[in-house]
Amino acid sequence: MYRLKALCAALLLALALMLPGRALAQTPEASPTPQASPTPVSPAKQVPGIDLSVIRAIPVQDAGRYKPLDTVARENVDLVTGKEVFEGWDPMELMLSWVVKPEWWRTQPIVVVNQKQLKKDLGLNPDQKYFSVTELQNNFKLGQIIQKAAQKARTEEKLTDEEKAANDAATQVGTFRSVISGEVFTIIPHPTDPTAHWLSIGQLMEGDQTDLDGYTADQLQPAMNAFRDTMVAYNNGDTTAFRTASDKLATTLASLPKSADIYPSASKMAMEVEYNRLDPFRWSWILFLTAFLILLSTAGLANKSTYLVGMIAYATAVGMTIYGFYLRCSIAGRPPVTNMYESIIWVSFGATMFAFVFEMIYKARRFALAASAVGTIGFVLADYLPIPGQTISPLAPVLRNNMWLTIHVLTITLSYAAFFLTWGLGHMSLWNYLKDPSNKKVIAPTNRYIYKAMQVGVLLVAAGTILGGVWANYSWGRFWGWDPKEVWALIVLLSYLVVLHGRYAGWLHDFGTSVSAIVCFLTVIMAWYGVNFVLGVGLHSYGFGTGGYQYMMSAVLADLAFVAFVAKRYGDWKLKNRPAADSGSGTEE
Amino acid sequence: MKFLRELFDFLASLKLAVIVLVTLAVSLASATIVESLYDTDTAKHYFYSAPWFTVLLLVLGLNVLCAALSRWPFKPRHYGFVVTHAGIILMLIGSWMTMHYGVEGLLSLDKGEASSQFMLYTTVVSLYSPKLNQTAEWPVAYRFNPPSQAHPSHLDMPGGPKVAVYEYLPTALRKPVYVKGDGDQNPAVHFGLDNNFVHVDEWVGGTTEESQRVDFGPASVLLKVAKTPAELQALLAPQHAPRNLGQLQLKFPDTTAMVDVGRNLEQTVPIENTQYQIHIIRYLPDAVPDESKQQLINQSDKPINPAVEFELITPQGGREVHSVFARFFNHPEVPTLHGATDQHTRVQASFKFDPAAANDDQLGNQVLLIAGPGDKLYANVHAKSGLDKAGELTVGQAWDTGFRMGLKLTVKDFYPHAMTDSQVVAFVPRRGMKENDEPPPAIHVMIANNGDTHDLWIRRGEAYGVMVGGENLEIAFRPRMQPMGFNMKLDSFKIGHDPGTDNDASYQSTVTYSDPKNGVQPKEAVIQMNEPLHYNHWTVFQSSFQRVDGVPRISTFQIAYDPGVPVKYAGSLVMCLGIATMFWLRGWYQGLGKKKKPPTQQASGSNGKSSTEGPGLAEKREEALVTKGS
Repeated sequence: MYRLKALCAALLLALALMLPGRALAQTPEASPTPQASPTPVSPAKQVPGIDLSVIRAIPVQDAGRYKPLDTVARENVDLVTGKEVFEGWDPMELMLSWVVKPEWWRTQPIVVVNQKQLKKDLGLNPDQKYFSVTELQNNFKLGQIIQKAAQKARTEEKLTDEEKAANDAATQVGTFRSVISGEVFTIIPHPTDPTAHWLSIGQLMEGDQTDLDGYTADQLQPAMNAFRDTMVAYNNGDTTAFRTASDKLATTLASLPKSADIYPSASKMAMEVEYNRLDPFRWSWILFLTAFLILLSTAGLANKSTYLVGMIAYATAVGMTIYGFYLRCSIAGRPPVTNMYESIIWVSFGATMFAFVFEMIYKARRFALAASAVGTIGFVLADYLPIPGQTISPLAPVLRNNMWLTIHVLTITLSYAAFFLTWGLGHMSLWNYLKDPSNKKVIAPTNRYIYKAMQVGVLLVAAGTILGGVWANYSWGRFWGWDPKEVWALIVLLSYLVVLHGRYAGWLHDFGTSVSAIVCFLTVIMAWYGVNFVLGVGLHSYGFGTGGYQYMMSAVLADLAFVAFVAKRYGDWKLKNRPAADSGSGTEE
Repeated sequence: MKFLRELFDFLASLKLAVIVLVTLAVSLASATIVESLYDTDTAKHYFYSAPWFTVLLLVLGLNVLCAALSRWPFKPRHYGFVVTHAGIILMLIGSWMTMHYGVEGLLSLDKGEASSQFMLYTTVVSLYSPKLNQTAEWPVAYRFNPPSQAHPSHLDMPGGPKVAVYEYLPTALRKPVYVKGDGDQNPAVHFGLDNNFVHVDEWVGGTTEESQRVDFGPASVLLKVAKTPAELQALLAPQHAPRNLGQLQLKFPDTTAMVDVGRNLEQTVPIENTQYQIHIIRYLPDAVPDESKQQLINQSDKPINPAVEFELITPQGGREVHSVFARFFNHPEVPTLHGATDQHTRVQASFKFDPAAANDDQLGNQVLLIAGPGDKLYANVHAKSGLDKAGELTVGQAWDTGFRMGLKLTVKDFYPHAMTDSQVVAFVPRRGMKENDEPPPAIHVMIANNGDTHDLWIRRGEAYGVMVGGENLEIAFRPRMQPMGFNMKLDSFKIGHDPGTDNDASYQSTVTYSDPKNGVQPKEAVIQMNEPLHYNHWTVFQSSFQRVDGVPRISTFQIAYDPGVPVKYAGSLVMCLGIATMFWLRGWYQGLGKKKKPPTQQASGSNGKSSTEGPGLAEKREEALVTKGS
């Protein structure tokens, strides 16, 4: 099914690329200034002092859910230009500018193309990052590559990076075109049916008045007028008129549906606009990084006030993350762990949260330091890597309305969080070994804390795996089916159990514990990322994706190289200090 | 006694625990990789369902049990440990119950269809003997242990017919074949097309256009019947009409010439009454200019905007490239010269194209086999390379087709009058094919009854009545069926969508179930994802669906009964409580029973020989691990 859809999309895009663009502003009633003359188009400029707050919050039906226009603008601008804020433009304003000045923007370098081979084959300047819509649209070779890719998609062949990039470029051009044609403005609510298609401004502008969702053309006229007035006001740079017109547009649209439950509430839209504006998870890593740097300056030292400042930064980071989760859950109406992106921020949050609790209990001044580093890494990865799931989207049917699923996923990901924390502590411990292997005062407690965090993880992964069984029994009628995802959860449990038993038996001492905290985390990476992105089999297919394999592999190898390096150094040191280094250092207080 | 003691100590040892844990983890990891490389069944066969895996789990169970028992008599500090291990044992028992008593299968219902039984994942060979009035069913798993001529699989009905399975194909097709018949039946030809790489062995025959035609890659073989010499003559004529792609009209200052595009495509020919030659480069049925590249591209195969690109070659060897569009036929003043300003020939070219008369049929490589009068066979071969030939064929003679790579045609059998039969052949998967499209497996069986034998191929899902030894036996190769004890009918299947999209949001089957034996009147129920139907001990889940003519109509349910679930749940709960107790609560309840001296060394055999420390050290360590801060 999905493949078919992707294929259709690719074909449509290939087609769209060939046809000349049709823009909203070219339709006579939407264009106040005659633009038919071939004189050079005036450049688009930002309008100072424009108040976009009302238009931002207008609900749009898009990709299976209702979101404010602000989100649509961000998604589209990000898709086309590769970033939300393009050359200092507020995404909302940039989208409006595209609509009122399509001729100008069409010729501007705004479409980001990074793939080198594609640029080469298309005859584009390889040093250039951005290209204009016209340039790409008229590129004959691009159309060829896309057609070839569509052919391959039909026979389910793997696409090359270049072909993927060509498809992306087509999507980008298509996105720009659906903005300027008004297609993305799916803002006319259905009068009666809460799940039916909404009409878009673009559809109405097309003049196809045959199917208006039960509205008459007259009923929709005020909304159309308001939309036009808003665009005209923006084009004229008239901030007062814009404010009035966008107010009018918002109220007109809200008054269209016949029953009250159709139109999304203003508060929900406002919440999402706030989430977009604040970008809480970006603040998370900024704050965690701050906390890390402050705590690093005081680690091992007894400077209480600096430590306190660091902990305040840390607590703020945790607080900001919690607020972020509150917003995201309220917007999506579901728990925050349904895709890779959400699980990364959730696991990072969990690790920092556990560390915070441990720090409070043990006053150890180690947890927060390790966890702020771990939190920074997690949130930075989530913020900067193209991980699927950043945009909030509806769930696969099997994931819906299920309490057991929620509990299972939250538990198992919290176990990842605990192991993530032990991973961070493991690195800290190895760092300590690197600095001074004889410093038992620092090393022994750190490893005791690793052990404690590991215990938390083991209970959670055991419970989480079992809860997964409960969910499976509830949804598929079997408790355990040797599905790769559940098998890997079990492998995680087994590998940490080996560590716990090994330490209990006295075979694993402090150094072994630190190393296994890092090495065992590989099983977590496999269960978390590998099953979905590398193995790609089993019932958890709704979470499957591709990509990032090389990066993940290099990161893992670099980490293992670090471990090997420290082990070598420690081994050399042990040989030299054989009488001094006692073997049973493990667990004494 | 000493041996038993040592055995017990080993079974209870931490060393064994770590060995088992590591072995298990490594096996599981390998299993998932095997599953990813091959498929789920392979992973199940070599890992999860393999005997050694069961043994491994058994060893784990023994280890856990002995480790717990070795703590006897239990002291408060052992509670967490013992409870945890008891939980694990309960879970293993639950799994064993599921394995032995659990039932799981699939039921697919079309809209309006009802059933009181469903398909299990087990495949059986079943045989019904009317004489004994008895049906025998043998579960078989041939995929990983295929029977062979040397080692057939014997399935005997006591006191009745005997079945031997002596061949197995994991995926098989049933193909028509023909046997010699008589009278007025239709002809059939068995032929081969071979070279070093390709070996095609097929039949054409029967009465339908489909059965008389075989297409493979770049060539087709067709069977035609010619009843009269005149018909034969017509069929032996060259197979394709020349392409009619219109004419180029070239107006030179002193003369006008017409050049046929179809006949001269991609060729260089002299132009009458001029000193020039024309090379027709290409014909584009649906041309659009590509501005960036300054050239024409073809958008489709339909004659929407026909155009021709050609070059005129002067006696000096100069070349002028022109592009001419059919739509400008009445406007010869439209310039056609590309990329040059100086026109040497001063030609005004126009392109006359009549869509109604156009013929752009490009015949591929094709072999026409003709069953002619007098039970003679003829062939008419058209090769893309242009090597057409026709003539009489004899059985066994190899013909060079003129196709690429020297394919040779051999007629292996020719029956002017043939009867239809079928043959089971191994299926060769094509690239990019989905697993779901794979045909079913097939078995070759020999049935012996009352001194008579009969052999036949059966594909999974097929059933045959065969007369062997004077008895009409019914044999089938099919999934095992499981009665549910109640009846279920699918009333409707619906897919819900996310607002304003075609994304599936829910799958919903409305069913009516009834159990007249137990006095349950028909009841309606809705089954959807995460909302199964429970009836008696069965649970019916929404599993998947199929579309018929694009409309979702057939709903597939998973039906399961798992008596091990309560035990597993109990075990899970006990285990988690145990872990929590062991890790965090020990400090608290040990305080209740006051601190006792470590017991004499009876239980700590668990540490085995690895322990270089004195007795009781492990216990001390155990205590040291306890979180005192909480």
